[in-house]
Order: sequence, then C-alpha cells, then structure tokens
Amino acid sequence: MDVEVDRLSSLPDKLIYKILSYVDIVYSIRLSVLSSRLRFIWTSMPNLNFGTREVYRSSPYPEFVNNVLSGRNNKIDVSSVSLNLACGDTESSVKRTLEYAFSHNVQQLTIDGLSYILNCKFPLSLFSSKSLKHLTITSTTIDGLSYSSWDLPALTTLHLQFVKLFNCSSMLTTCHNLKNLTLERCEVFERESCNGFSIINSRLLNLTLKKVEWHVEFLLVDTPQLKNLIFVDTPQWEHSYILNQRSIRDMSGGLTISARELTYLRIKGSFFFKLSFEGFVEKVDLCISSPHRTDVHKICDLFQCLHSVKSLALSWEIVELLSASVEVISHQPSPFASLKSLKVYPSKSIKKYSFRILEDCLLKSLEIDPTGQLDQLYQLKQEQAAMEINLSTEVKNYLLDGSPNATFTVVSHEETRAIKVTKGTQRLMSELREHLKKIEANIENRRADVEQKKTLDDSSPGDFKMKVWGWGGGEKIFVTLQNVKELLNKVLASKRVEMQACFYRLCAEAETVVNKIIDDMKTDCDVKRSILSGYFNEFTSS
Amino acid sequence: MSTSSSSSKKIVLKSADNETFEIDEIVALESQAIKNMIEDECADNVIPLGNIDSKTLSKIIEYCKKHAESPKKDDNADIDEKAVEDLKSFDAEFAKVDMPLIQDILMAANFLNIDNLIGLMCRTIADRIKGKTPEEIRKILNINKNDLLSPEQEAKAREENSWAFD
Repeated sequence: MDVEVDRLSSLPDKLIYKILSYVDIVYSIRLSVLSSRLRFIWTSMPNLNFGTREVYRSSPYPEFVNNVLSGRNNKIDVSSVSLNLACGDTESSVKRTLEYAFSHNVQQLTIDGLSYILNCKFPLSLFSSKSLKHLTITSTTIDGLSYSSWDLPALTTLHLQFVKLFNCSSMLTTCHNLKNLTLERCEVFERESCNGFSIINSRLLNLTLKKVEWHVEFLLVDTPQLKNLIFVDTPQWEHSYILNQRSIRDMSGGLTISARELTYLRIKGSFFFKLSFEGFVEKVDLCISSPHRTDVHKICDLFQCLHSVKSLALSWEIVELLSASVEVISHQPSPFASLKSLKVYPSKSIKKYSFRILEDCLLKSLEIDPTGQLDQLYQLKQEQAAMEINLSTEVKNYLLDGSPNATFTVVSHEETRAIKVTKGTQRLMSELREHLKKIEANIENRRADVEQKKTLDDSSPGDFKMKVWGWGGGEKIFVTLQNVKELLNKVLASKRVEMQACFYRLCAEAETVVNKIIDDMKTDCDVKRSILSGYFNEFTSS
Repeated sequence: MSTSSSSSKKIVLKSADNETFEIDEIVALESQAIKNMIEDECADNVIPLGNIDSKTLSKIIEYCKKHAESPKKDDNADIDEKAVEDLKSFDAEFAKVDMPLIQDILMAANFLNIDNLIGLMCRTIADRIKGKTPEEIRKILNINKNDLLSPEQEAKAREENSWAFD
C-alpha cells in the first residue's frame, strides 16, 4: 500500500486553493504550521472565504478580517470574497473588506447579513468595480435613490435574497451586462410617483422572481433577449401566517412581459393573476393550483398570447377549471397553432416542508392534521384510491384542435406522488447522513477534550452529579430510519433498488455512530468512577 | 441522452497498468482534454493514460457515464428537478471513498480536465477537513513527513498567526 504518498503536496497550487476555497480562510491559515509547502499558501489564496463565524475565538471578527487583509500578499488579486456578518461587526470593517476586494479586482462577491450592522444600509456608494461579475446579497435594504448609481459594468449575475428594494428599477437598468437576475423572497417598493417596478434590460437572459412581496401596482418585464423566465408567487399557505403580505394578484396592473426571444416560461402560484405577454415562447409551464372560477377568461386570453408555444404543461386544476367552463371555451378557437406536446399534471402533492416533520415524528403515528398541511403525508400511510384524471372532449378539442399532431400526456396523481416521495426520501437520507457526520465530529472533539480531574480542589459541582454524558438526537436517527424504511415502499419503482442499497449503507453508518456514542458513555462511566473514588480516597486519607 | 450504445462511436482508454476501457465517445467527451484531442484529430483509437491507474480510471469512467447521460443544466432552465436530485445523490455516493483514492481522482480529473469532478473532489476534501485541528488535518491528508517544519519554524508560524488559532 502506498499510504506514504503525500498526494496533497503534489497538487498544483490552483487545486489547493480550490479545496481551501470551500472552507473558511481560518483553516488555510492554520495549515501554515503543517509543512513548508503550506507555510504561506494562505497569503496567496485568491479566495477569501470569511464564511463561518464559530471558528474564531481568540480575536473579534473585525480584527480577524483585518489581520487576514494585512497579512495577505497585496500583489495577488482576489477572485472571490464571501462575508457572513453578524452582530458585533462594524461598518468600517465591512467597508475595508469591500474596498480591498474591489481594489484587487474581485470577480465574485457574496455578502450575508448586512442587516446585522445597525443603521447600515447597503453601501451602494462603494459599489464601483470594473471586475465584479457575480454578486450575491442576503438580507439588507437597498435604496436606489440614496445613491446616484452603482457602477458595475462587468456584472453578469445578481442574486438578491431577503433584500428590501426601494426604488431599484433604474439601478437594474444600468447594469448593462447583466445576464442572470434572481430576486428571492425580496420585498419591492417604489416611490408613489412611479408606482411600478420595471425590469428593463437589453442583455438579460435568465430571470427568476421567487416569492417576492410586491408593494407596487404593476410589474413590467421588458427584456428583448430573455430566454428563461421563472415566476413563483408566494404560495397561499404562507400567507395565512404573515399579515399584510402582498402577492402579485394584489397588484392592479399585474405582470406585463415583453420578451421576443423567450424559450421557457414558468408561472407557479396558488391563484391566477393579471398577466399579459407579448412575444414568442417555445415552452410554457403554467402551474396554478387553485384558480378561481372567474379566472377562466384571463386564462383563455393568456392562451391567445401564447399561440406560438410548442410545448405546454398545465396543472390539472387549470384543465379542471376549463372543463367546468365549457360555455366559455366552446365559442373560442383553439389557441395553439404549433403545439408539439401537451402535458397535464396534478400540482397539489406533498410539499418539501411536510417531509421535514418526518425527522421528528413517525409517519405511522401521524393523525389527520386540522390545518390540512399534513393531510397529504397522512394519506401516504393510507392506501389511497386512484384518482382519475379525465379530460372532457370539449377541453381536448379546445386545446388540441389547432395542432392535431401534438402528443398529449397526463401525469397521474400516483406518479406525481411517487416522484415527490422519492425526492423527499432522498433528502431525508442525505440530511440524516449530515447529522451523523456532525455527531461523529463532535464525539472526536469531545474525546480530545477529556481530561481527568485529580483532586477535590479541582472539582466542580457538576462532577458530583451521577450522570453520564449522552448524545441527544438519537431519536432523530431512529425516527428517520423507520420513516425511510416505510417510505421506500412508495418511491418510484425504478429507484427502489438503488435507494434500498443506499438505505442499508446509511443504517450501517448510523450503527457505527450509535456504537461510538455508547462506547463514549461507557468511558464516561469509567472516568466518573475513577474521579469519584479518588474523592473518596481523599476523604479517608489524613 | 446517449444514443444506443451499439451504434455510437467508441473510444478506448488505456490505464497506466495497461488495462483497457472501451467507452462511448459521448462519455469520453466529458473530459475537456480528450475532447480537445478528438477535435484536433490527434487521438488514435486507443488513448494511453500513463499516469492514471485502472482503479482510478474506472471510477472516473463511472462518473462520466452518469454525467454524460444526465440532462445538462445550462441548456434549459426546465431541467427536471428529479434529474438534479438524482445526480446530487449519485455524487454524494460517488465521493464516499478513502482519501488516497479521492486525491488520485482529483489529480486525474485535473489532468483530464473534467471540471465538475474536480469541483466534487475539492468539496469532498474540504468537507473532511472542516472542523478539524491542524494535527488531524495532517493525518487526514497524509502530509509529507519530509516537508514538516522544524519545531522552531512551527512555533514561529503559530506565533505569527496566533490570531487564527483558538
């Protein structure tokens, strides 16, 4: 066996940087004591990952950042910086870092948690960089009016999450090279006089608007080059918890899309809303889970705008609504002239969040939940009667008459459910694996910490408790494994064998970890015994 | 999707220990280096890979096969979520090998220029050193004993960077 081969040191610097870019920079610095090859490697790292906070103990975060920036080789450019801010960080240390990044031609920047810094709105004035290509910002407030502009001519990807955007329409228009824009769970405000949010950009290729709260009256997307547009409305169930949350259907002007080159359009939400579309699009996925009866005209109007579509997917609920409104569609011509495929699928199935509960709660113990959120999980343990999807002739004619050669597929409830169960189960397994890894790491750290107290003088009251250290979270291991075992009967048949094998491996891993926990408890008992008997010896000795 | 395997063009790779692997061209194209060779028409039917042993090579082929038959992300935003999830779980399983093999795969992937695989291996190594002390990392990565710092040098390094230690 060639275990003596030091492979890491034979890797080119580029790969060592890449490995270390995935962990906090503190690790790269600590590696400096390991070998002469690694002695100064951190000073030339192009990636500055200040991503995790819990590792810093000896110096406060701003000081740490300062030490990194001054210790680093100033001649070497920075390719990426990621900052994770928390209480206690100062505006000046953030500014220093950003200035350093920009003056070293940073291309990728990720900032999380600016809102922790009191009174610190996003410092747009700092944002002038000829090199920055990718920018990700989480939780802050950006006011487009307080700053003249941001000057990011090279910016191609902008991802904003949990950001409050005030008056930012024109700001987005000035990013001339922007190709990918994502707003996720943001809140959008505009001043009274314009009242709407516009995304007008001539280069934009991909636009994703996910669960944004719209405090404006209209939304305009005017993007001649746009290829992909994904719009996900805040789902209905989340609304019931958050008051005053505005969704797209509260906007009087609705959504207007002008995009000549669109390939893919996906609209997902609970309800239908005012939507107009101008341009051509090849592929459309319209997933509305609870369309209202009165929406049928709006839907037919939209279909007329989408006449060029080649591949269309509709939620079953839309088709159901059309079926219930035969009087409307029977007078209309078939809207699609070049349809190649039509797919109808059920939109209501088990949601991701429902699976989370299966880490703590046994599937077989689930009762019908009065809020209805777990109903679908509850049904999983029952053998549900097959729900038929039948399409009336009128609806079929309406949708397909214009394109008689189009293929038509209906995805059954069972299949949709099996797909969801497969994904959910895979996720449960991978989360348990992460959990096991964490426990294992903790056990190892703890073993390193074990020190035996010798005398009563060193003792603390805790030592006298007749308790051994145990690991909480054992329930999670067993509950998840039990649930996964049950769910495996319901996953996609094509995945079952593979997932079964994965499950057995996971069980073996879990057993190893549980045995380690138990070994530790044993050791704990022994240590306790020797400590306590040492005390008794002290009592009786003179 | 790969076309039916019987009709598509084949490429033969030969490992350092002279084992040959016949694979579909589409699988081989996952490697930017092989792709360039094929495009420049300087690839014979058999491509010798003198620095990759058969154990490493068969892992790499396993990876490329799976990724070649998976729909590509940037082609269309409408990639099947299931396919993505599927590929993720494949990657997670794939990375469950011992550290020497991971580092061998990384070096080979770097030579063959397979971007996704380089990323996967780097992330895997990073995951394994996360939360560990320098001493543990030394063991995990099996860092060359001939390249160790002298005790004085080590103390100096520790002193200089004391702000980054606990």
